Amino acid sequence: MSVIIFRMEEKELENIVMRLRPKMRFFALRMIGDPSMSEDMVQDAILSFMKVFRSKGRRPDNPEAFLMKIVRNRCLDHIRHSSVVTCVPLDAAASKAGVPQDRLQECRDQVELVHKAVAKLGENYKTVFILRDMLGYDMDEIAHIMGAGGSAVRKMLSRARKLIRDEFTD
Amino acid sequence: MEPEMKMLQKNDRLEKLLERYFDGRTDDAEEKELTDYFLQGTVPEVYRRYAPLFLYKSFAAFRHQDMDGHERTRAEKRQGRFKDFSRVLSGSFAAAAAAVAVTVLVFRDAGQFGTGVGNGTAGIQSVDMQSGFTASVEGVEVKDLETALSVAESGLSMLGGIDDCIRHVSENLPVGRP
Repeated sequence: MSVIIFRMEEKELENIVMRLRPKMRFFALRMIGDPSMSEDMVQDAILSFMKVFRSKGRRPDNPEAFLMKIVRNRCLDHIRHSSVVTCVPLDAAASKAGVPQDRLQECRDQVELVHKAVAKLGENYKTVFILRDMLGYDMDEIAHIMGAGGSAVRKMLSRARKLIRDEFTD
Repeated sequence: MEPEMKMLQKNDRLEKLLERYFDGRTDDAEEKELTDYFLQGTVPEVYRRYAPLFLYKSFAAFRHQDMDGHERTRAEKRQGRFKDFSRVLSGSFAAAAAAVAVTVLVFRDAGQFGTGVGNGTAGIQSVDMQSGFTASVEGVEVKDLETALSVAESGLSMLGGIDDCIRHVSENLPVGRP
């Protein structure tokens, strides 16, 4: 069978963007903590993405990783230029853990501890932790998004998890 | 096996998994195992201090809503996907192969390989191999090899993701269904 060459049309890219928008919003919100600012980040990332596609005339090899990379860069720019990073209220987080009702408040208190610890992390550690533990990307994908090697990503993830652990186990 | 022995083995397993987790080496299945341990609340006292981390993963992980209305994390989707991998592989190749095969059959015998323009946006809904070599794909008449390839490409690439591909192939395609 001959090799199939995929020609990505603009409509298909728009479909990808629409599908990924909730995930990008989730990521941006957890990086910078401001809902309206994170929405701006996402919108900005989408515009940049479509601009790159139109100028190059071909889709990126991994559109999802490319988009997440742009969102991350926008968030980091914002964090570096602004000293305020707020913590996303946990009420917005879906409580779908299947935890018994009588344990729910205890669990929410514990989760709040972690939530604050994540907000305190340095930008790279926070990025890796969110991408892996909250968004479920695998290590290769995270390496692609961050432009780092697999080993470096694993070390950052290890460090992030230990820092969070140390915050509430001391 | 005695209950105490089982408990010791379980604790050993938990300790190893925790070590791997904090080293950044756990895979999706191992992290799920850890999360399940902590959510069930039967973890020994010495490990309970780690519970918040795994509760957090359950509470705050991003969940994508599938077309069937279920919300799943990316890891859960990956694990589900692996079970159907061979089905996906045969399904997706079958979809593309069907469109190409039909066109080859149509035009090989007719001796035509002209150039035509398909709209390239239709998904593959039906491929008729029975009615004297006509091919109609969701209202797009396939007149030539280029159109057939374009429609096959669009059909697969418009399917949004591998889960949609599985669903689409199993529900709609009469040819090459695993």
